[in-house]
Amino acid sequence: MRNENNPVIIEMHRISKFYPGVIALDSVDFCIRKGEIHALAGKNGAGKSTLIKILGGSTQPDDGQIMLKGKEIVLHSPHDAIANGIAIISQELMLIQELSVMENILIGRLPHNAAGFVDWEAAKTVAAEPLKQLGLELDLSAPVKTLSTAQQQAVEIAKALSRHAEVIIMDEPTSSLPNREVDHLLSTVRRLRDQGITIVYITHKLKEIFAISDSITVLRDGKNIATLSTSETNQAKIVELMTGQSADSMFEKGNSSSSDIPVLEVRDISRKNAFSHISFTLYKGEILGFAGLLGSGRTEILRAIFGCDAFDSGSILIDGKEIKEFSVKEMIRRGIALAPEDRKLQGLVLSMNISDNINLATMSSAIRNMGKEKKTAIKLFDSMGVKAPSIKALVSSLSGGNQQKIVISKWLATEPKVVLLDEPTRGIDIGAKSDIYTLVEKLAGEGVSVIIVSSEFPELLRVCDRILTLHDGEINGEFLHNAVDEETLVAYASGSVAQYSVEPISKSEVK
Amino acid sequence: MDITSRKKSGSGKVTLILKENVPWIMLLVFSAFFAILFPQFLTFRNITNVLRNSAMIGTIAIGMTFAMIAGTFDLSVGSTMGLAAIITIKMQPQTGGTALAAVVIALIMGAMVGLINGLVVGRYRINSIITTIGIEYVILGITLVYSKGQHVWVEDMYKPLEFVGKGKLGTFPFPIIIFLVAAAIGQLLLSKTRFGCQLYATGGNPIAAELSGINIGKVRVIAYMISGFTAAVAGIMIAARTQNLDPSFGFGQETDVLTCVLLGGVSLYGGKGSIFGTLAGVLILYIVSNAMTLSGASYELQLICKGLIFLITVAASVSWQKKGK
Repeated sequence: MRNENNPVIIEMHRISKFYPGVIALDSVDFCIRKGEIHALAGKNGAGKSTLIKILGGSTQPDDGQIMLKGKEIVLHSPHDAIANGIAIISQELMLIQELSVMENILIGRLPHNAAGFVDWEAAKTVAAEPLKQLGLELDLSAPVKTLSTAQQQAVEIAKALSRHAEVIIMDEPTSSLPNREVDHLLSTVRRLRDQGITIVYITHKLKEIFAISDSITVLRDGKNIATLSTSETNQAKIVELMTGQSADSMFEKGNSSSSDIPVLEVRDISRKNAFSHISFTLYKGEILGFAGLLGSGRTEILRAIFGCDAFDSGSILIDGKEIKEFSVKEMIRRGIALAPEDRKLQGLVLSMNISDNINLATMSSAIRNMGKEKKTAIKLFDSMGVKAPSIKALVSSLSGGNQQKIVISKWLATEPKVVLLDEPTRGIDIGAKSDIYTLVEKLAGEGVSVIIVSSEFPELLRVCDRILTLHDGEINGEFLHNAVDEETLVAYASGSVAQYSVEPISKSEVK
Repeated sequence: MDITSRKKSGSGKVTLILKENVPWIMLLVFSAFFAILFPQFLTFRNITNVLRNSAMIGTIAIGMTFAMIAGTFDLSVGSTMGLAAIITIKMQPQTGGTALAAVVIALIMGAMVGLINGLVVGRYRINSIITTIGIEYVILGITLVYSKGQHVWVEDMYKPLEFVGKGKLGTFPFPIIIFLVAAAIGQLLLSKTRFGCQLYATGGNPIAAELSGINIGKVRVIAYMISGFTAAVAGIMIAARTQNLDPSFGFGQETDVLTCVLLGGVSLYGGKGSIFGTLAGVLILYIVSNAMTLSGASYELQLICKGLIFLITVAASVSWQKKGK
């Protein structure tokens, strides 16, 4: 529980940070009390990352002070932060995959004997301590690469504890965890709190914020909008604070624009160890959802349709014509677009600017037409509402939501007939999510067909006309959005319902 | 409001311009320093001398910039240049016909070496350092077989060919013109063509490039062919200038080329760099070695300095890239 009587452990006072053309933080006050779980909420680009980077010592503020237990501290580097008992568990874990659990926990600080050799017995004792604190049993000598993501995260937390961290900052800790591991992580976090550790918890998932936090600070456009006690507020209020607009408008399904003209017909395609007997038809203006968990073959199917991976049998028809030649280039030419799951790894060239990224898939002539490229880039930049100083800014400098908008812009520039979106809202905030739903609906209204793959089923129910459930590489259910609920989708996607034997839905019902 | 010029603070703009032109600033600082130290440094004669000396390695650096932006190394350019030069001389180009044949065969050979590098690295995804070092030795071996390990020379070279290495346009040595023309073509290819943009994308993020419909294998093959081609051009220039060569003279020269390219700000990891930067890199290396000569430093000392410059450049380049991330 948030206790106003708990002493303040960290007080950030009037922190400001400027980047060329952008004010990342504008005189932000941020106050954390000892032993609380303090959630930090805000849209992408609201300043959350910058604020915790400053707290973690990897970025220096242009103005303001940081007080730790009443004394001012200056953090020049991550090393300084650790020395002051502040640890960051970032989204991308900083573990060395080949080394053991013990070596990772004690990295750089392995105890050694007089001769300078590692004292493995002592190391075992020291490394076991923080794991016990977390209530975990792990094989200390197992290489980290053999652990699950959740276990690796625990090792990262253990590493922080063994360095006597008093404040642990967790940046989107559940974004890479499967659903069943999330509860486990949350109970670990509570356990830490009960031991007097202070937690700053950053997430886009409101459900989590309310499940776990004692207090919430909302940032918007680089300003601290409010710091509230969790028990005295609710989700709608937080959404409102984050976006500056009322929450109701964001969760309503728009009108369907689905027609009965088939655009993409997938007929019985299979690939060994990935998916088998996949058949479906996508209609002009339809938004079709794939509800499937990790490993269900959802990404592989999209990649096969887009021509990046081959399949063993079956056929694909576009506008009624069978495709003979499969390559990404050919599929782009035929009007298919794929916004991949991992935008940094697969979607963008971070070292190039916004304009070049947007035009990358559309350069039709050997000599570039700079005027046309600039026009395309500006048009999409403005219509997507990208937040950046200019179209010449490097995409590496943008926030996650803005990067996702650039990926989508690149594909809109190709004027596609079918857009395949793989987890389009993963790791982006509620405001940007809502922008993407609106965009998808607008595209459908213009006659573009869309397939969305997501493991967030409420999102599919919100935006899709029709949903296919995927389990173990096979389609095992087909539903209209208004004839199904989240529980049913979960049951099918997790395979706890046997192969469905319902007749496929007829087109008249869809309309 | 024009968004290309939307709110960019004045000081931010200046730092950005400085950041993007570190090699040129280094060049200016070095030049000023040497001009004060050595009175003969800033003479027309000395400057044209530096430029002429830099033209061969500089031309190869233009080509290597392409391979490096694609995210791959080309360490075979030394031997490729050597073989091109030996071919040019061994063909005994004393008439128009033989001269033309010698040049064409040398250029085709250079492009072919690039094609092989490109296929092995681009198509079969084999580490580019290993591949091109291997090819460097293979080409050296072929050169030695071809020349029977003997010194090669030609008397009375066909005059227009000789002009390529020794000629002057007014007071300007011709190799400099070739170098600058190659640089201009290179920069145009990089910034004005689809291939240029695809090259940056391939080096910056090959996965995203492929998913954008770019054939990254093909892009890499072309980058290597450009690199091999410019190595052959440099070989022909040297053959025309010296007309008398030891067959293994090219082997190992790629270190100088790599130093120039990295000094010019091309990333070791691909995706970043420009010909404009490489140009500055070439000039820095050559004014430093010129300054050492002017100071009377021995050849041995010059080698040690060159090695150190190479190491410092690589180290600086790596730490610079890390900061950039």
